[in-house]
Amino acid sequence: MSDDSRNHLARAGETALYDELSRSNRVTTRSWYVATGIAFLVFAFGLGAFIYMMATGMGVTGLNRPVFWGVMIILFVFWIGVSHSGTLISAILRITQASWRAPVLRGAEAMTVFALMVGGLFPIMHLGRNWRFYYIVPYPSERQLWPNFRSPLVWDMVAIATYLTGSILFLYFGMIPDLAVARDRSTGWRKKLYTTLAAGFRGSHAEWRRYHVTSTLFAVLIIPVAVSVHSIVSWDFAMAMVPGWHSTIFAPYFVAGAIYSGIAGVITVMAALRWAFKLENHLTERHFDNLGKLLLTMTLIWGYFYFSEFLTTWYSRLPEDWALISSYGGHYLPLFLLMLVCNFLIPLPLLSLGKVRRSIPAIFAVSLVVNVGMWAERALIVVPSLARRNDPSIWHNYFPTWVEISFITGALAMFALLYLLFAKLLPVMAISDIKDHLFRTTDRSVGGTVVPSVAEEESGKEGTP
Amino acid sequence: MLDRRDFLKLGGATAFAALFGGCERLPRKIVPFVIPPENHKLGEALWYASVCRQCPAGCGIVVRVAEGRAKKIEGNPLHPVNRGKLCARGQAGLQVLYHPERLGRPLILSGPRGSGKFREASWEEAIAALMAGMKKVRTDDPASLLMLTEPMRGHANLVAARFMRAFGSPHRVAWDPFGQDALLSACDAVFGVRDVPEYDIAGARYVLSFSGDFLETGLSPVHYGRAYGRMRQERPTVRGKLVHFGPRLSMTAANADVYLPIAPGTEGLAALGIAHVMVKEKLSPAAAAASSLWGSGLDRMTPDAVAQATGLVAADIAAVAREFAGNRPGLAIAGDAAASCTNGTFNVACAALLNALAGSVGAPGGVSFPNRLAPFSRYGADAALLLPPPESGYPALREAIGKMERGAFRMALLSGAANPAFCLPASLKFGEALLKVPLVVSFASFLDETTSLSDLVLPVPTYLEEWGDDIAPAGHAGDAVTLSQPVVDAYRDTRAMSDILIAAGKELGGPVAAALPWASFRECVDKAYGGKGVNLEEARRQGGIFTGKPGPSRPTPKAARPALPKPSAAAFEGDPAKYPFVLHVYPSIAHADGRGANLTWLQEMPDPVTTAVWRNWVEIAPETARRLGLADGDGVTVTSPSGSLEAFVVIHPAIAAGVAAMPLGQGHARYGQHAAGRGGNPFALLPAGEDAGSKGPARQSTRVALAKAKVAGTLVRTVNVEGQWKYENIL
Amino acid sequence: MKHKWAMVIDMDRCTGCGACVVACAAENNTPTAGEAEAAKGRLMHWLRISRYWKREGNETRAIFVPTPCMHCEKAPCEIVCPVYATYHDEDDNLNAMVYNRCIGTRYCANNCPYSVRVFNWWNYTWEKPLDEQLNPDLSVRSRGVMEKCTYCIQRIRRARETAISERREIRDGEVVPACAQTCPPGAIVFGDTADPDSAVSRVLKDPRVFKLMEHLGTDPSTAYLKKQRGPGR
Repeated sequence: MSDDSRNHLARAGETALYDELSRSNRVTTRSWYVATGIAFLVFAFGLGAFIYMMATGMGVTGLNRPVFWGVMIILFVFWIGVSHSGTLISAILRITQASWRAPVLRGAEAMTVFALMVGGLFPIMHLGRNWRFYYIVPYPSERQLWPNFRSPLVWDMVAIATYLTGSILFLYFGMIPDLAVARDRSTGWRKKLYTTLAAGFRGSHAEWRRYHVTSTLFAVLIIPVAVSVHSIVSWDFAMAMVPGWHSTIFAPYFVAGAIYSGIAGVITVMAALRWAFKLENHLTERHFDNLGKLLLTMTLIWGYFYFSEFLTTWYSRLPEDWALISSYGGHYLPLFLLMLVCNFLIPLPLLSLGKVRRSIPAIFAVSLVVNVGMWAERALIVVPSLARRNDPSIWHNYFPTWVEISFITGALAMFALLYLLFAKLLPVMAISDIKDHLFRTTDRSVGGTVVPSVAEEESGKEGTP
Repeated sequence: MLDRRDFLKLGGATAFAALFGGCERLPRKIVPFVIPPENHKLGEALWYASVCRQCPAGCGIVVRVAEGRAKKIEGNPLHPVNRGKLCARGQAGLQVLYHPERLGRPLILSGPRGSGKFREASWEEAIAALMAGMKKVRTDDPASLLMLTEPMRGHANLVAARFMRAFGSPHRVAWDPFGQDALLSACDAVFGVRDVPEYDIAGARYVLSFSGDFLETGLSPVHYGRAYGRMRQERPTVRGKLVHFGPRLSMTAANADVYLPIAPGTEGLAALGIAHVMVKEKLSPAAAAASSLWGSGLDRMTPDAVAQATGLVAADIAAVAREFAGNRPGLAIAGDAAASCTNGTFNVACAALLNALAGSVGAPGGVSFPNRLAPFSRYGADAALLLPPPESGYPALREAIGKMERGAFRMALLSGAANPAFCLPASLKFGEALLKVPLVVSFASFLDETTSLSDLVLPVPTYLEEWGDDIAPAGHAGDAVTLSQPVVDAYRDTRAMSDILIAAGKELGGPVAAALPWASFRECVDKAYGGKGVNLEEARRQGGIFTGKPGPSRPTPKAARPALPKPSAAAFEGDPAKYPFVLHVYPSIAHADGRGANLTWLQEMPDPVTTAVWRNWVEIAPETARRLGLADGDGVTVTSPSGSLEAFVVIHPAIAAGVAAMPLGQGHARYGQHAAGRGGNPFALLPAGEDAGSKGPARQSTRVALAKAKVAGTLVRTVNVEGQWKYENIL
Repeated sequence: MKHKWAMVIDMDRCTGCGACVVACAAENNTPTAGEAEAAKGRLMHWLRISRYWKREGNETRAIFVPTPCMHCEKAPCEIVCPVYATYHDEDDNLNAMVYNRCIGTRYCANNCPYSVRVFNWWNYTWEKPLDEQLNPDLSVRSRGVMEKCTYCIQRIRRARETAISERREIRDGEVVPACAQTCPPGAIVFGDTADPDSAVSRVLKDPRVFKLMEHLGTDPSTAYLKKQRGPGR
């Protein structure tokens, strides 16, 4: 949509703006019910499969010796990776004050929380005795037993718990002004809900000041948490003496992959939101163009990390590593090609074209392809290294069973379900930020004329960081 | 309600009864012990010594029994055959004892004959049926009673033999598919002794194995396995060397320093090639003095001629001959695959000849013939019943089948340990012949192919629940008699075959009762060994009577001037154009004659060479696979002139060209849920051929064709087929 | 009394017969996996024999490597277990397993380069009366926990209790794991390296000694003796 209409909205007043931005909350279409219904069914099937697995035994999966970790860990790494970018984009864009960030923020932050919720389930699901998961939680037990803090899995638990808490708080605090707006403009049970959640935000000067300080603090602090979380997840693998896992590059490589995967996820989710809730005015081609440029950057960075890791391993031909590499050309060739094509060979040329980046269907497709490629990349990290590990006499292939496939679909459905519910109940667009931004690009009356103007707030003023 | 007096009486009675556990008394469901018997201490286990009967070797075992349950079987450290060691089959004996499919009640046929449909009956009814049959046969024609068992030893064999003799029937057949017929004939021809030799592998410096299987199956795998270990590393400065000739790299061959592939059935020629070099180059005193051999045909067995016939390299023959002669004491051993050809006796005799030429007969590290029955001289002729020569019984069985066909038998007594319906070539049509016998009685613990053909099945205890004795056919020098005892109370309603025969004798009366004058088989064994300074209880505690004083060796009159065995070539059925591969069958280490196939521990034990479990396979060379377009794990049909079956391909990197190998023991049709339906039975591919010299079964006497086929299922290999070539990765 | 249990497997004596595998399964209440599970790579044997092929020119040799737990002094499995379900027993220098602490993350199995660890995928059952054979000295593991060779710790404990009650030290040769006890060629030697006169201490001085994957620095307690080759042809 053109700038005119934006200014028109700014002129037209808050109500129209609010109505447009909160369309998802106010209007419940049939397609929402259908989508939620389908997501719920698929999620329920996955949940049922999990209960079946918990009641019967891990044997219902395709896991074996030596492939003791499979789809559940792949999903774990994948979803934690997807969760990254939400917060990272939001944080980085806030700090750099990127002018186009406003409509993307909320969706991205929500992505983080829900992806974490999904991903954080898998470490508990993949346990052989998940009903005893609390042994890993450091609490003073009568047996005076603490968990083994030297184990990367305990670091995982700490990191993910921290990240989840942090992201939820980040999301929530960011939403408070919007919840206040929604509170003021809604009725009935929604009003009650938003009143509770808005925590009495009145828009006073002091509150806004605190809001800006908190947002900035969170934005700054969540970055190291996010980086550390995926580094720690990578160390689940890198700390092990498994050929193909024991690599020093894993921490930056995983973080880069997570950001890559996450940005693609943001593009997917934003495109979906735009289409579903008719937010064409606010999520414009420019946003996708910029996100596309970020994605291209990550394609290059990911490709660079992968290539360096591969080159050194392949070049040295150490017997243990070589057994793994040859499997990429053998049994795991389809998976390897899938990853290469989807992670690099398709995104690189396409994202380099502005035409593709600015075509929302095209970039949506590319983002899906990237996430398929990233899933394949996770699979390629977890499975072949175990299937072709140190002792060749026990090499064995792995293929997921229906239980694990239902976890894949169930995780996706759970994420979609959470997002659908979120979009229905809570402000999916960062209204106050958008207003903030719109305020700067609006018509101003100067004397007797109305002129379009773009103004930036000066830093150092009251209420700004 | 019980009053206190009755309660204590009851408790005491129970304890008293439990003390005499092992009698043919059933455990009654009664209140738990108030006063536990002496040997039931919670947390402490008792060890009972007995004998293992999972194969003919007769190793001594001790069984750990806790609270009346057998928990673990170990080798008896005092027993000279195995000295505390035990093989996988011996370890799996616990699964025989506690098998869910063990017969617990007598069974009477309730369907058509041969259907294997039975109804449970009481012992009274069963014994009544048995005695009715026996009495009728005794009256009409005592010679029409057939007894077909596995080769029995000790006093159990004595009881069975005396029973048949007194009953008036000469028809006793003892069947073991892997009998040592060729070895016995060969030793008779070369050494003048018709007996199984002792091979002092532990003391040898150089062992030649001609398709030897002494480490895996054969007559005494634990004894020879132990000896092998000592041959290698027990002596500080001497490490024995093992060279194996054979069509296939077997488990035994895998442990050899040198494996030389030869065409099937040419073991004898290979041995003669070595003998030729030894005699020609006068490499030992005996070889130097063997001019008679040279003249009678050994001169024609040049390395080149032998290389031509066997597929060996001529230089290898000469090199091995020189090493063999130069590293005395040397031993030459021939195994089952050499013996079970149509020229089996020739093959084994040539190997035996090498021992004579190397001067190893009667010397340490060589071959000897101890008098294993030395303790039983007082038995006279009956002594041979305690340790009959370990023959297969093939000629007698074939004759018996013929007689069955002609209706010569009115009643057959079968022992469940022999399963001729499974391990005889199908062309002999054993099952059909057996059904021509009007009354077939089996003494068995499990329903297998043979027992399923019976009219009456009497459940017998397993070997861990029986009194008895045993003399091992190899591994001792006549200084060991093993005593067996029940290690647990019988928990199934079973009666030992010997006890049934003794009781039958009493009922038949007359000479039969007189021939078996004891109240029970236990009394027979007690009387045989008790008294005369033998503390029977102490002997049972030790597992036998081990004097440690070897008896005098038997003389070997022909060894000084051995004659050249008459050359004969192995014959293979089937037109080579139509059946391009020679079938090499071998008893698998887990199942042997098939009796272990219903035990999950043995089914799940990976085969040493192929690492396959749970199913049958056929091994072919890589070139064969390439030519036929077969990959590892593909399904094939294996067809011989006698039969066909489906199996999975295993590509074996060290097998002679033109040979397809299959293990024996798998492929049951009826033997329980674990054994049945695991592929075809390779015994069904075999012709009814025999070894010319000894008339024993010639299993390596057919050709087969292989054709790719779609076979349901997969062959499970526990070692990864790709990874098995990457040994360097773990160093 | 502190011990340092160790095992030496002489590959020149080992014939690959597999008696040790069945003996271990009998001693340690190992469930049967069945053909379907075995096809999925889920055999439950604690001790396996890895049979390798090695090509040397025209010849192919078979190499049998019985592989129990190495009981590494620097065990990679211990450090990664989040709940200390596997730890180093200081009194016996063993890598010990606590079944009721294990939550089944399977990280230890991933970090074991020898892949000797085995996971309970199901609640295995023993069809009656096969359960009568179960060894009362050790547990039957529930589903969801890892297990592995323990150097027959139940036998070590029994010997220790007997020795304590008789007020003496454990004698060399008194503790024999099931595999060593049954091995016909006597390929497996087991004992206490803290006792310089024990059989295993003597055997460890043999120049043929090597350990698997020694370069990984796990410092295994299970060592091997190289198979020798006879001279000449």
